[in-house]
Amino acid sequence: MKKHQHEQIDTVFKSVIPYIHDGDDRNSISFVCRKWYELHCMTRKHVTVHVFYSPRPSRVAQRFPHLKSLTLKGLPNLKRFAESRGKDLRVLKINKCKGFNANEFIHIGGLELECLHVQVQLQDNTNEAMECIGAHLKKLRDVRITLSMSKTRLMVDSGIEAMLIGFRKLE
Amino acid sequence: MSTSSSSSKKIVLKSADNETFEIDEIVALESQAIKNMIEDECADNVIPLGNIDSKTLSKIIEYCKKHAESPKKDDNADIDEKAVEDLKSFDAEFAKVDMPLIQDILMAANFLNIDNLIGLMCRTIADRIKGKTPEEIRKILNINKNDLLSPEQEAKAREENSWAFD
Repeated sequence: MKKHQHEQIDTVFKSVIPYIHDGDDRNSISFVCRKWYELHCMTRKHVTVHVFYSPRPSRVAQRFPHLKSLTLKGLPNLKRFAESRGKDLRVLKINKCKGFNANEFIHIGGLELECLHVQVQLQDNTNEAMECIGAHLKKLRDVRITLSMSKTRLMVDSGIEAMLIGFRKLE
Repeated sequence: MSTSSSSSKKIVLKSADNETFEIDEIVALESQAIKNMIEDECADNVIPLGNIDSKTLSKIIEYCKKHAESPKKDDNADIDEKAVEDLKSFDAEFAKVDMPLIQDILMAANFLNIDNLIGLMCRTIADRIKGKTPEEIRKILNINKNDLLSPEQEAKAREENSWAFD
């Protein structure tokens, strides 16, 4: 009977959670019992993290080991995020990251990203950084890089060209 | 398509508490699992369902009967709307049962692979726990006290929720 009950609570969670869309409801559900907390962590595919509240990136990976999509708000330390992320991550969006240095891209070359949205501050090394993601992130299909203005009048044609040559799956 | 009971083949289902239910094959075919058994010819005259009690099974049969009798979407465009409405109100009435039975039906529908019924039970449970606190949800679903998070685990989870959003 005990086993049956455990099976039931698993099934109820897995079946019902797709019908719960509200974030508050999902949070409440994760506190209902131990099993649901674990299942909530294991089954979560997307999360938005406010970098400002600065959890250690490893904690994000620990709590949501099978994340496919991650949105970061604020200026992230991509090195630490990339180190702690599993191979599952496909979508990376970085919002409200004014001042983001494209140099950070060298840290995400090892991820198998399919989608990357980010706002980049033009800097001297922007071309190299773009070349880098063009060379490594071969599976990207959806890329949105917003270039924000800066004092330098840098031409990024070569970086963009290198990226485009690299992206074979672009849609 | 004929749904008359006199001419069609019968299937007998046997519940965990050894009650037998004789139903038309077409009703049984609402279950993908039973359909597969029949198609693979591995269904005997009596199909034993050792993990479904008679109370749950009779509800499931009531559901399958109604859905088997109801015209399918692509049959006739004219009757579509009325039939869909009729089925909707049947489903709404059907789901007005207590939570233990809902969960039993969900488990059985999973086992029997009856897609529509799984969906109906899931929506019903979801609707009943939406907007509720964890404590209220525990009451609704009758969660065992031994299965709760420890205070430390709960504190950790709450802290995580302060940085993780949808």
